[in-house]
Amino acid sequence: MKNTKIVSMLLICLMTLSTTPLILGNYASAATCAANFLPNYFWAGLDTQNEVNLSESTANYIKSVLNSKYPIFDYRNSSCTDGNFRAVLTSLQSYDNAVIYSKGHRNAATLSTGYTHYGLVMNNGGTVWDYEAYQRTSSKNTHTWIWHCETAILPSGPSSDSLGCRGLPRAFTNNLNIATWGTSGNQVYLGWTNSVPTYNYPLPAGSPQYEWNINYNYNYAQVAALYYYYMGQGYTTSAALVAMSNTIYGTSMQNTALANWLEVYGNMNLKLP
Amino acid sequence: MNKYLTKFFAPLLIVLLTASLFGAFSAPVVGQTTTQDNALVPEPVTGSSTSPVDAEQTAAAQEKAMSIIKNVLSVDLSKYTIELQINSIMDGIPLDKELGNEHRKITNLMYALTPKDSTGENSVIEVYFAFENGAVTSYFIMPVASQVITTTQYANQQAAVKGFLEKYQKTTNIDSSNLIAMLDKVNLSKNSTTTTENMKLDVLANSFFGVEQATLRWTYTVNGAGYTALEISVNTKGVVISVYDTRALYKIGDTSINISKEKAIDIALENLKSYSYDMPDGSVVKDFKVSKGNIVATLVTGPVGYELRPYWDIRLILDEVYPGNVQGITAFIWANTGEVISYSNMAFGSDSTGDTNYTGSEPNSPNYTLMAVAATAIIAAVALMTVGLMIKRKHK
Repeated sequence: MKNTKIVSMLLICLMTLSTTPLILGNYASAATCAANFLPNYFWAGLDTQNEVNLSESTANYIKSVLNSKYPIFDYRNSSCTDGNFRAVLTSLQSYDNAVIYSKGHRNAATLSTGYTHYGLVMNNGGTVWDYEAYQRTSSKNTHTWIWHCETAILPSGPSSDSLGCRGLPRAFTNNLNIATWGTSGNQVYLGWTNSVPTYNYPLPAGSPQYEWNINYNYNYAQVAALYYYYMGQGYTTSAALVAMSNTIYGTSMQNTALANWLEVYGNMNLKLP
Repeated sequence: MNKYLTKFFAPLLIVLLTASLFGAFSAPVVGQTTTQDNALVPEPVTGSSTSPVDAEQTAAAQEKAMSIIKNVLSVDLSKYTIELQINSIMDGIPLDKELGNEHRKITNLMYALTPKDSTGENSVIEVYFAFENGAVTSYFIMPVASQVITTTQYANQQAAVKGFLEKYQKTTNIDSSNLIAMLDKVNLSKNSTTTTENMKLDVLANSFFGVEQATLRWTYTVNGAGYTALEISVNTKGVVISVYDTRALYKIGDTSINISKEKAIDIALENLKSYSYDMPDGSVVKDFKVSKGNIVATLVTGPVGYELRPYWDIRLILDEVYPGNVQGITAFIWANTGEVISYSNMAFGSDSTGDTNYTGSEPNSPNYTLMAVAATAIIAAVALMTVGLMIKRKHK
């Protein structure tokens, strides 16, 4: 009788121990995971061949910097679909911190709620909308740079509607009240406004393409690359922007086209986790 | 009944236990490159591909940096613990674009100044330096609102700038007396441009990450082109929070401007006829129409190796949007010879119309929820059965 009790309890304990990993999740031991997205959507000639080439080489560099520190999801071209993008956002939540870089184009549309939403266009033509990203992010999303068109612009009106969050800075920080150029908090988000360098363009838009030459020696691909070089060395976002501006423009950031064009939400004094 | 329960559940328990030991219920582990179908697993960490920089390699730069902290920033060293936290050497752009073999080497340092008095308002201050070719090319303080405890205080912003220049020229051995002389003529609270012989001083009152400041830039100019420069930003408390200095980095090459602005534009337009670019579908885009009233030409200088040369930066804004969202063409023309340096596209990322309805689905992944529920149910059933057995025996 006593032996039966002992054996039964022992079996229960062993059973619990063997299934505990399933319940609790045997996930990554790394505290941070990164993601590098490059949809390279070719619809209607959105990118020149030179831009495509620069995008690949810049993605390679940024990936090398981030992957030297963190495991990384690297999704490009045909693998960078809306479904995969959403799935990666979800997977990143298994870690303590998520670092994201994405380069491509934006979608903006008035949806069923009557309000404008913004999203990121993927290689298969699908869109990851702001409210969809919001459902898959949290305060764990500590460092994000979305190099798509006008990704720092918040839509006018409420911060959310019946679909959910509106605006990409809110979406990727999971914070409907994220403010610009802050000095506290554990999240930072970079994006582009439409305050472009002052020329009379036929149709001024948002983010610069990488192939845009700033001067004789540098283009915008190097803006991205140098920023991540400095971040990889342990600079804060604000320090990396200053150092990058000094190197490329020969002057501090506030004196360059980036001053009003590149916007930082959250804590600009954060380093990579 | 008891024998029946024991005969049924005992083997089940043994089977489940054995299966779990062989990983039947394991979730994916990072680093695995093969998992069950459609499970997302990131690529593993690679580690750094470059070796850490030896302190000896940057010893000279470190010495100069500490001299600036002590003698220019006038940091009261007794109040801080100072630690070198970043020490790296970056490969910059090629020294010669044509050859591309040798790259400029830029040493980056960061010192963290931690106040010894941790109960005060002061927090850690970071001072970032860049050195190249033996010269300090920039340094700046972060956070920009930092209150540095210094051994010297100044009455006002103007006095602080003058004091900085005097100490800076002593530390760097770069004569700045002509720069100091120009200070008397400016008001740091207003934007202005002052020119004396070959020196131009631009004062810009602006803000730096939310902190009000004045930016002063002294530029050595010849024939309207700006060459080496010293730029500083000073906040309202008189702290010089950033410095950018190319006077010891670059030499000045041929300063002759033989090509006028109008001539440079003509050259750019003429050569535009033979400029084209490729699209990913194999098509070639050419024959651009320029909006003649929207051409912007600026005389600037750029380094070739460490020698500054003047060139025309010409922005040819197009009359319509071309494939790739190209809205302008940039042409660089050497100002002394009229030789074309390069053409490139001014293009934007864009809004595009994609699907407005989400009909996609995420890749299949193991249904951990279902498996967790099943496991919990099994454990609960086993526990109940055991308790039942124990109670029954007790009542016999």
